[in-house]
Amino acid sequence: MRYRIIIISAIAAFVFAGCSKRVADTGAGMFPDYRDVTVPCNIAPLNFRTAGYNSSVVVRGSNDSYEFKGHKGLVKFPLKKWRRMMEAEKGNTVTVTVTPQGNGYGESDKMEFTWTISPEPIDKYLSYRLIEPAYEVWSGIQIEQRDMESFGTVLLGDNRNAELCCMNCHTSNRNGTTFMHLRGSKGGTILNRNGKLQKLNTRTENTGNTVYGDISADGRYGVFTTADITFAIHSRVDMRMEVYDKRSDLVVVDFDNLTVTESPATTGDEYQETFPCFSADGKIIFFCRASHHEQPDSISDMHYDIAVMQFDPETGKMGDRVITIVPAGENLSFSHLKTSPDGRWLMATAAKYGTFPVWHKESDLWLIDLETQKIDPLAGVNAYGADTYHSWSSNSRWVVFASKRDDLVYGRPYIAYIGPDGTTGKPFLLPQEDPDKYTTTLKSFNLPELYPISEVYSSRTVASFYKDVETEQVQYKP
Amino acid sequence: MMRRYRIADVALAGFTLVGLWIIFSVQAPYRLEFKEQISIFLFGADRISWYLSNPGIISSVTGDWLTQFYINGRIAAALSCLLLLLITAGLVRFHRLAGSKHKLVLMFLMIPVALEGYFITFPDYPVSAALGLAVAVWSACALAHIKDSRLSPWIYGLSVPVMFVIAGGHAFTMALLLGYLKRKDAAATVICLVAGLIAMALCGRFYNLTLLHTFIWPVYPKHIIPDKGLLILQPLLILAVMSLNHLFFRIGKERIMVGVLLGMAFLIQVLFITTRDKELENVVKIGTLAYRNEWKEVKEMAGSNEPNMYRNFYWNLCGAREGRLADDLLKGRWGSSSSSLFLSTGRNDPYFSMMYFTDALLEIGDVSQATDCALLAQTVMPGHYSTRMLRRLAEIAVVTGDYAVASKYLDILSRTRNHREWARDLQESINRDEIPEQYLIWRSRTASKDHFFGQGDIRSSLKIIAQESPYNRTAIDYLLCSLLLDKNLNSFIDYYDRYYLNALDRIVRVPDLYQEALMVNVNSDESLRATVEKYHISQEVVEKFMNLMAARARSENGEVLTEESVGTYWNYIMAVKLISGNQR
Repeated sequence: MRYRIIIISAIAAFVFAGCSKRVADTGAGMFPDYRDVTVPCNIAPLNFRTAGYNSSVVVRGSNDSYEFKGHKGLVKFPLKKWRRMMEAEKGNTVTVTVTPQGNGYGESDKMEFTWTISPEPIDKYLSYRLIEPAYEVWSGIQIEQRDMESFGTVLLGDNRNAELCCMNCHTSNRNGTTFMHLRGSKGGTILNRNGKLQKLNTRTENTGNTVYGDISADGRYGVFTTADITFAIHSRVDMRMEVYDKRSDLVVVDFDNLTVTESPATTGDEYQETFPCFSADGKIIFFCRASHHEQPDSISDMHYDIAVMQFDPETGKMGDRVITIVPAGENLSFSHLKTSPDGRWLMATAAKYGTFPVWHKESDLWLIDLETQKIDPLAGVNAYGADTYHSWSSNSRWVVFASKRDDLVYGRPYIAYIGPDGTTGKPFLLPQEDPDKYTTTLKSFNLPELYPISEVYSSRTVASFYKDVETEQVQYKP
Repeated sequence: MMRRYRIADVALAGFTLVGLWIIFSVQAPYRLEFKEQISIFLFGADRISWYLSNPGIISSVTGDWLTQFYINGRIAAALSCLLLLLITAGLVRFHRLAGSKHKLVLMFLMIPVALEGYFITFPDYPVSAALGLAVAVWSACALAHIKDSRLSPWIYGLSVPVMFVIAGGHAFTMALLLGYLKRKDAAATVICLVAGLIAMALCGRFYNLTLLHTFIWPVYPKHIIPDKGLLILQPLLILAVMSLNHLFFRIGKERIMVGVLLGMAFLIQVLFITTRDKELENVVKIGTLAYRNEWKEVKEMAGSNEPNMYRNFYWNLCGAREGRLADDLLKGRWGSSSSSLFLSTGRNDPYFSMMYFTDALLEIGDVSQATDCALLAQTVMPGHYSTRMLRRLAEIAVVTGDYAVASKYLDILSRTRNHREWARDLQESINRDEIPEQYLIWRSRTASKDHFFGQGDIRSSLKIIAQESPYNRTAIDYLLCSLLLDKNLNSFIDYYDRYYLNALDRIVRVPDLYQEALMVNVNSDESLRATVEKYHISQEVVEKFMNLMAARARSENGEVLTEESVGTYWNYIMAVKLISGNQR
C-alpha cells in the first residue's frame, strides 16, 4: 500500500489552524474584497462596489495601462476590454488604483491594490445549488451552472418542476461524466456519460440510497456513501442544526454494467463511512470513517478519520482492508474529501466533530500533500465561518469552496489559488455582474463544483426526466 | 340626452367605487394589508434577476411596487378599488370597441369584476395579478384598433406570448377577448390565437412553470385561494359575458335589469368577502395586531370571539406576556396543548402558523425554533420574501448576537420604503452597542448549553430551556400548562417540584391552576394534609376543593361540579370525563 499512516500530528495542525481564525474583514472599502488576490486569467470581470461615489479605476500592468469608470459606487468592467486586459497581462501582477471623484474625497480615500493574473485558467463552468439556509426546507431548490468567463447562467435543476423534491450533489469527473440526485417519488440519479442521459435507481435490496460520491476519471465507476441521513436542532442558538448519518456505508456503482458492489470492510455497524473519492489514478478510494456512536446524543463523539482502501478498476472490486491515513482527534473530524486531478493533493474539511460541517463555524479546509504526507491547515485560505464543500479545477491550480465567512449563515462561492508547491492565494468571491446579488439574496450558494465541459441538460430536461423517464434499476452484485 | 347618460355613468361608477371601498375597508382591511407583510419591493440585482426569470415582468414590478402602499388597510382598499375600476373601464371600453350595444351586458361584466374583487381580498393573491388583468384588458382594447384584416391575426397571435412575458397568465384573457373581437372572420384569427396560446404554454415551460401555473401566474396554485378553478374560470366568464350581447339582443326593459344585476354583483361581493372568509380576516387581523405590538387589542380580540387555533394561541401568549398564562389558561379557550399553546409548523401547515409561532418562541426563549419557523415561513410563502419575516429574522439575529447576519437583513430592509427607518434605527443601535432592552430580555431566556431536539419538538425544547434557565418563568409556565392541558399530571408534578417548589414560588404567586392540579390526586385526609403542607396550597383553593369533594360525595355518579369549581382545573378534567361519558 502506497499510502502509509501520516505521522504528522493532525491535532497540532488543528490547534494551529484554530489560531489562524479571524473575523471577516469588512473594512475593505470595497465589496467583495478583491484586494491583493491571485486570479485566473479567464475569470469574469471582478466587478465591485465602493462607498457610493463615482470613481476612476486605473489598472497598471506590465504592458499597458487600462482605464475604467465607476458609477455611484459600482465598478463594472466591460467584458471585451476586461478580456483583452487579462490576455495581455497573463502571468503579471497589475496594480489597481481606485480614485474617488467629486468633492469631499481626498487622497486618503484612494485605494490601491494588486491583482496577480495567473496564466493557469480555471475550469469554464461552475455548478452550485441555491437554497434557503433553512433547517429542512426544499421549497425552492435550484441548481445553476455558471460560466466562469462571463456572467451567464443556465438552470440545471429547479425542484418547482419536480414535486419540490430535494436535488443535490451535482458532481462531475471533469471528463464529461456527471451525476445529480433527485429525491421524491419519481426520483433517481441523473447520470450524464458524455451526453447520454440515464435515470438510475441505485438503491437495491442489499444497499441503501446513494448520497455523496465521486466518479472515476474514466467515468465507468461511481463510489458513493449509502446513508440514512437525518437532523436535529441545537438548543444553543449559535449552532443551529446538526445533520448526521444514523448509519452509513460505501458502495461502488459500475455504470457500464449497472451493478452495485460493496466490501465487507466498509459495511456493518461498527464503523460509519462516508465522503468517498477516487485517487487520480482510480486505484485508491479515500473516505472518512468513524466508530459508531448513538446519535444525536453522542454526536460530539463522532470523529471521522481519513482512511483509504484499494480499488481494482479492472474488476470494480473494492479492497478488503482499510487503513487510516490521517487520524481524527478529540476536536477533529474530517469530511468532504476530494483529490486533485494531478494526484498530488487531497483536500478535506476539518471540523470539531460530525459529518456535516456546513453549520460548524469552526470548519476549515485542510490540504494534505500525498507525496510528502504533510498537512497544511491553509491559514491563508480559511476564515471565521464555515469553509466547506470544495471542488478542484481540472488543472489542480484552483479550488472553489462554499464559505460563510461574510455573515456566518449564507454560503458564498470563494475561489483560491493552490500553487504547484502548495502555496495558496487569498480567496476571492466569485464575481457577479452586480455584487449586490450577494447582499440581497436570501439563498445560500452551496455544493460548488468546477468542470470544463458544459452540462448537456437543463432544468426542463431534468423535469421531464423526473416525470416521464423510467428509472433503470442497478443490480446488486455480491 | 347623451350628456345625461354620461353623468349617470360617472355617478354610477363613483357610487360603485365608494361602495367597494367601504366593503374593502370594513370587511377586508387586514387581508389587504397582509399583502405587504408577505412581499417585498426591492430593485437589487438578485430581485431584478428574479423578475427577469419569471413571466409578467411589468405587472410584477409594478404590482410589488404598489404593494408597498398596502401597509395601511384603507389605502390598500382604495388602491384595490382603483385597480377594479381600471379593469372595469377596460372591459367597458372593449365592449364598445367590439361593437356591442347593450348596457345589460355591461352590468353582467360586473360579475367577473366582482370575482376579481373577491380574489384581491386574499393575502396570497398578488396585486400584480389584478394589475395583469388590467394590462391584458387594456392591451386587448389597444389591439382592437388594428383594422388591417390580413395583419391583425398575426399581431394578435404574436401578442399572446408577449403579453405573457409582460403581464403573466392573463395573456389568456387577452387572447379570449381578441378571439371574440374577430369572431366574424374566424379561421385565420383563431389559428393565430391558438398558436399564440400554445406559444404561451411553451413560454411557461421555458419559465419552468406547469401548465396550470402558466395560466394563473403570478398566483401560486398551492396557496390559500380555495377555489383555484375560479382563477381559470374568470377569463372564460369574461368571454361568456361578452357573448351575452347576442343573447340579450331582443330583451327590453334594460333599466330594470340594470338595477337587479348591479344589486346581484354587490351581493356576490358582500357574500363572498364578509361571510365566507370572515374567519380569514380575523386570523390575519390578530396576527397583524401582534406584529404591530398592539397586545391589548390582541387580547381583546382573542377573548371576544369564538375560540379557534390562532385566537387560543394569542390568548395564551398575551397571558404569558403578562405573567398570567396559568391564570388565564382555562378561561374558556382550552383544548389540547398543541392547539392552544403551540402552533403546528409542518411542511403542509399554512405559513400563518409559522409566522405567528415565532412570537411565542421568542417570548419563551426558544430562538433556535424561532429561526427555523421564520425561515420556513418565508420559504413556503408565495414570493419567498416577507418584510415581516425579514424583520423577525433581523430581531432573532440581534437576540443571538449574530450581528453580521442581522446587518444583512437590515440592509435589505433599509432598501424598502416602509421599513427603512426601523432597519436603520436598529442598525445604529447595533453599531452603538445599545441593544434594545426587549432583545436583551429574550437573549437572557435562551439556552446556553447544547442539547438536541427534533424539528417542531417544542416540549423537549421547553424542558431544555427550563433546565438551563430555571427562572425563565415563561418557558416553565408553557411547559407546565401544556402538561396540564394534556392531563399529564405525573409529569406536571415532577416539573413543578423541579422549578416552582422552593424556587419560583418564592418569587411569584403560584397560580390557582397549579394549586388545583396539585390536589387532583388527593384521596384522603392524610394526603390532603401532606399536599397542603408541601405545596403551601392557599386556604381559598382548599375550601373550594373541600366543597367539591362534599358535593361529589352527595351525588350518585360522583361526576358533579359546584358553581365555584367552574373554570378550575377540576372542571377541565371532569368536563372531559362527562363528555366521554355522554359519547359512550
